[in-house]
Amino acid sequence: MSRPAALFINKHHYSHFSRGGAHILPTSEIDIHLVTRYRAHGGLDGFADHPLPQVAVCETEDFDRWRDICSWILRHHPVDRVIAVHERAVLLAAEMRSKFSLPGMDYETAVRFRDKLRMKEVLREAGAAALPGFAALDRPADLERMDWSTGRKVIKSRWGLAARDLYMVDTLDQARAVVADLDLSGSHYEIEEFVKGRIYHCDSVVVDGRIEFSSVGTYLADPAGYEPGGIFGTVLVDDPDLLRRIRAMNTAVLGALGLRDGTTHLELFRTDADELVFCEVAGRPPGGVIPPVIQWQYGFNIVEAQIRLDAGLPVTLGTAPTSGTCGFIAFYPGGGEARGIPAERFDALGVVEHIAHHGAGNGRGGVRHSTDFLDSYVIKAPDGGALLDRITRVREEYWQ
Amino acid sequence: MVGTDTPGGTVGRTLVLIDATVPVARAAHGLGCRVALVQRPGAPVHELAEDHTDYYSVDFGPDPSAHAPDTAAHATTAGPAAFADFVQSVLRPLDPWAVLSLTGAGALPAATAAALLGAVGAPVGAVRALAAAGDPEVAAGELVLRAHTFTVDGDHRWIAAVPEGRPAMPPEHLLPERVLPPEEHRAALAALTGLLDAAALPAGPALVRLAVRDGRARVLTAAHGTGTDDENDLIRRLTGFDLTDHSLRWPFGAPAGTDREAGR
Repeated sequence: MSRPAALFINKHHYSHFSRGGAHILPTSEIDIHLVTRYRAHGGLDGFADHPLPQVAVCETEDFDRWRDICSWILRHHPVDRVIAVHERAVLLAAEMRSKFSLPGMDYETAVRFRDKLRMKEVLREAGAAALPGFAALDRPADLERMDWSTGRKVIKSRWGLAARDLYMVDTLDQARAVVADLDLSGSHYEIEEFVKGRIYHCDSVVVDGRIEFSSVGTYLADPAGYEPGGIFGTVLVDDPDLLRRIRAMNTAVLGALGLRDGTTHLELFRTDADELVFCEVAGRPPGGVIPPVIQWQYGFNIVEAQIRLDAGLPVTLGTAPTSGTCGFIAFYPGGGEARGIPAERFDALGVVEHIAHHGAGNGRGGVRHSTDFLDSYVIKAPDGGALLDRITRVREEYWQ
Repeated sequence: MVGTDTPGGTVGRTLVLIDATVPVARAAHGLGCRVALVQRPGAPVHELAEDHTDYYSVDFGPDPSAHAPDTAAHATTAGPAAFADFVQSVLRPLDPWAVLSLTGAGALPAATAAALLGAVGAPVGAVRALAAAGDPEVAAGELVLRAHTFTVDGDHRWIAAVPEGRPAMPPEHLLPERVLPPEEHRAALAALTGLLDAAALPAGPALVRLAVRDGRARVLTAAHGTGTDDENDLIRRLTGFDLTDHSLRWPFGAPAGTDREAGR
């Protein structure tokens, strides 16, 4: 009897699936047909250490190409699962599941997690969360539908990720100037009210329609504010009342969008008036360095959980959280060459993991997106106050 | 376009290479064209693929030109229909200029793909005719030679004769006219030419195993393709003729230059 098999549509560096010497693809349990990006873009990084027999390597910026290859594999091989971890692969994976009647997140559900406009329409209909005012931006005249007396607005791609294709505008004239340079055809943009507040994220594992795990953190900086020499990061939240409120929103949102099995990454604003306002949610694991933070705090890899759920395999989510709390600080490229924390300082600073990101930056001194880090440090501490102190010290010592 | 040698160079064109070894893939990447590799599952993609190589694992089956429907035997592999679908849905969008293979196992899949795509490649009929030729039984006292030929515009050249089962020899011992006495050389050359003419191979390499004895020569087996990488390297070093390079370049009308005129 042949083993179960899955198609894995991958847009990460292949080395993304190895951590601390462990490889998280379940190759001992299933056969995997890998579709990955060019070697130049990391699609085969570390492949020699963890080879797979069935591989397709192609230009993954070309979705038609990707679709052709995935469809061919599914037409002619006994594959009954589709795995996707990267945001840009999730929708195609769902399309393939629907096209070939395979289990897992279907196309309609994936669209609700991917299209920021459709997502908010569903949540508004369900009354699942407080939402910023929003509207489709399919033509310049749509700008007139917004109430400009309320101040700043955000124009962003309905399908964007990592805070790319995002524009802040304060007046109708500014908005008109922005959209003059955008291609509004194809229903790709939306406009919404800017919400002033701290950004939180809630990361979940959903099994058989139940939220089996959720973790709440807050960013150290606005993801849209990435810039050369800047920093980003997150710290886990342990305020019980805030945790309860955010988890309640998370439950309502995921219920309204209808996820059955998978991981999610929800972002929300907490205003100065202590109101929680939904921002967006993705039907995939959190990006950046949040998975290592979750692993250090809760003892399981949330990326591996997504892979195993997509593959139809049981997941183990670890037990109770470890003591203390956890977070990370990341440094974008730019800002100087004399940088870094010597390894001998890690213990004193509470650094439990340093991640040196290869290929960071756009090669011209710029930062490409909100998770385009050069160095990241995962930090543990006894409590939230000590964690922020340690993050501050890491930030100070990083610049030598 | 099948089987023709079309000038124009490699830049901006796509070469699909089936069942490549690492040295052959490396040579293909040196041509300056886009390269797509089609390999059996389990091939070392990390050694074969370069920065922008398209790469596909395909179990291309025993005879992908048959276009037969999938059968139970192919339940877990890509059978003939699957291969044809692969060619049409995955390779065609690459708009390949040529589809080649230098191995016996890849020759028929490559020819089939070239025919389906209208790309440059060996004709399916020629590849089949070569594969069906000969009687592999070796009689006592027969000298077995691995004859390497290269064809340009239907003109077959005998590049090297490697006696089977013997260690590497001085250069002259790979030159067909030095390996064999005149009478047997003429007989062997006639056998090769007859075979390649009958197969109507218009271009590219062939590897023919010949049995020679008492002034007579006969074909044991034949295939469109070259020998092993070690064998090709030996031939290149001892005769100056780079079979790998010529076998990859001929579809682009830009042969690397023949260092030695051999044959006919």
